[in-house]
Amino acid sequence: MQATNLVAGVVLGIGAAGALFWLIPNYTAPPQSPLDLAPGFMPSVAMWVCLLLAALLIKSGLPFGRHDQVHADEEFGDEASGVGIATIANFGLWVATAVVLMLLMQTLGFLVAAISFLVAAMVYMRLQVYWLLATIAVGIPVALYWIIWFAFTIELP
Amino acid sequence: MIESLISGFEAAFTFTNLFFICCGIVLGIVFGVLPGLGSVTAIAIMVPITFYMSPVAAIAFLVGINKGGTSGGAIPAILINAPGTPEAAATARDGHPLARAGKPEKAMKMALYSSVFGDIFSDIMLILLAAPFAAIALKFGPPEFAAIILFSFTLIAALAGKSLVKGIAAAALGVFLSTIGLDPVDSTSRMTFDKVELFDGISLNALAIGTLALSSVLSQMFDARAGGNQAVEPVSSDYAKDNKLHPHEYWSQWRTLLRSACIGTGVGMLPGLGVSLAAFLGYGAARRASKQPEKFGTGALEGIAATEASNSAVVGANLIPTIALGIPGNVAAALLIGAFMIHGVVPGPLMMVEHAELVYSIFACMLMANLLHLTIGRVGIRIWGLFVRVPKNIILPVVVLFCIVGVYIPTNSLFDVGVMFAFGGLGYLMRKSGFSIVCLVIGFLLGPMFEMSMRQTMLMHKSDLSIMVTSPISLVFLILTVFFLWRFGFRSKK
Repeated sequence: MQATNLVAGVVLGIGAAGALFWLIPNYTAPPQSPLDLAPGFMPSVAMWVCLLLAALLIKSGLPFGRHDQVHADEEFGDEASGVGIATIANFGLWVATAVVLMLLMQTLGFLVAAISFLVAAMVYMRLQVYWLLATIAVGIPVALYWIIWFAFTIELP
Repeated sequence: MIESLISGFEAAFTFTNLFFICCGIVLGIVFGVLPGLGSVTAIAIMVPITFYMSPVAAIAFLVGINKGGTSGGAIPAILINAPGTPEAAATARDGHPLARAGKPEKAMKMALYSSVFGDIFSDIMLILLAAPFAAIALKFGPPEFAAIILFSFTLIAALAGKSLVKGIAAAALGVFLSTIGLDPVDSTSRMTFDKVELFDGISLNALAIGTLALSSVLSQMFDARAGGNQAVEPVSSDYAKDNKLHPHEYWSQWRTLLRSACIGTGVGMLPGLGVSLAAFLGYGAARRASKQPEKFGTGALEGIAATEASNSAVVGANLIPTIALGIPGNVAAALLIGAFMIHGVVPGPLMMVEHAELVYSIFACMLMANLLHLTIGRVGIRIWGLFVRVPKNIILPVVVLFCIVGVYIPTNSLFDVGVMFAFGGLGYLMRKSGFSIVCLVIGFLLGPMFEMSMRQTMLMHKSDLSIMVTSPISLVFLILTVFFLWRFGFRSKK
């Protein structure tokens, strides 16, 4: 978790600095009234807080820093195992999946995208009963599509 | 008041009203069970349909959805650790470990009974307090609201537990994300890159479903693939015995139930603080008060009782500011205001005078809805219990589809689906690195209200913020803020 804190602190710090010195000044307007807070005030405060806390995280992640190893799993238990190579690889896989899924939904529609996703995900999770895989992969998206249409007259993409 | 309530029962106790309440509860549970949907989506979709109903039946139907949805969200949280609603994330902390220990029905029974307890408590409070609350809350202005929200932020620090730095960082990130969109005062764009889809800000639905439900599903999918996440084994020789919830097990939690119901009612009465905050405050308070706090997070019935009683207690209490002031307590209450207006009733202080019979009929319907909720929920537990028998390699990919559909339905926007995917990835990384997702979501919810209150205070008092300490209500909350900061900071160091 020490290395995770260091990496998280660096990423958070870079993100906060980018928001403070590029995003907020360039993409928010000045205040319209001398009595009012600037539109960029609240996001700036939030990002300064993030920057400060990023520094604390980096400090706790350094070899001589104060470690919070026992504190990390308050909300997620065993899930908060730290960010390693496997986590980054999984994240990369999800990014690729999300991009492909979005492209499929935009070009070929929900049905094709959903069927493709279900097949890929169930194969990835080692479902080896192929008739079941095919039934679910086709049946559920088609059922969802028609239920949403008949119940709410909303056509999925 | 008693006479009014009795006449309300007379008007409300019809087959049609009971039928619509039942339909609402079933619909609410179904939407709550499906991760990514939830009662808000259900109410939003159903409000136009209520146009064809009588005012009492319409509001009773929507209240039924709200009640069913709030408790229904606990079911996937318990069974597959994918909260159907943001507030059920706290339920998952103890409900899911209990399900993994082979006691999913026990966890669901505890959740249901606690939920109904919270509902009944808050409905009684609503009936007693709606009128007096109007008089008190009229004294609240922007400085008071700003102080209350600031106080809520310090409580978020408590939610973060010992990982204070990561909790506050997540909350600050949530506040930052909430500022994207058009400025609430002068309507200039903020960090929108001129994309029309961002003018209304990041969709709460997309953010909440992405970070809470989708990220949990992703994490479980990756863990299951790696073999690190054991499948749920609900069927054992002692399954029926293990899953029985004895009355003494339930009633031994009476202190927790009462405390949580009070917290939920208190949070519900304050506009905007929301169900999620109540759930985690109830959970946090129970853990702090418990003689065995180390058991929380490992399948403690106390944790489930605390969360469900407090989040359900918000439902009734939310209607106190809604009916008394016309100020919605949360998104669901805002949608209810829309339903009232469809039927020619304008919520506000005059509503209690001009439509007293309608108001008390609604109160009567809410009380009847609790009994129906208990019956329908209890009968359905066996059906929901079947969910755990579906292998994870089938149910998890299917839940991703529900998340997509849940985000797409309210806005018909693929952009929001993309935003949800992005927050799913962010949520996954936050889970692995121990950053609090709940703090992120609560920061996102409270950020705009805090900013608005601060800016209104500045405009109304010519940039003089001393009003924050000269107003007694504001001062009380500021003192509480300092006290809690000191207390949590001290505890954290300790």
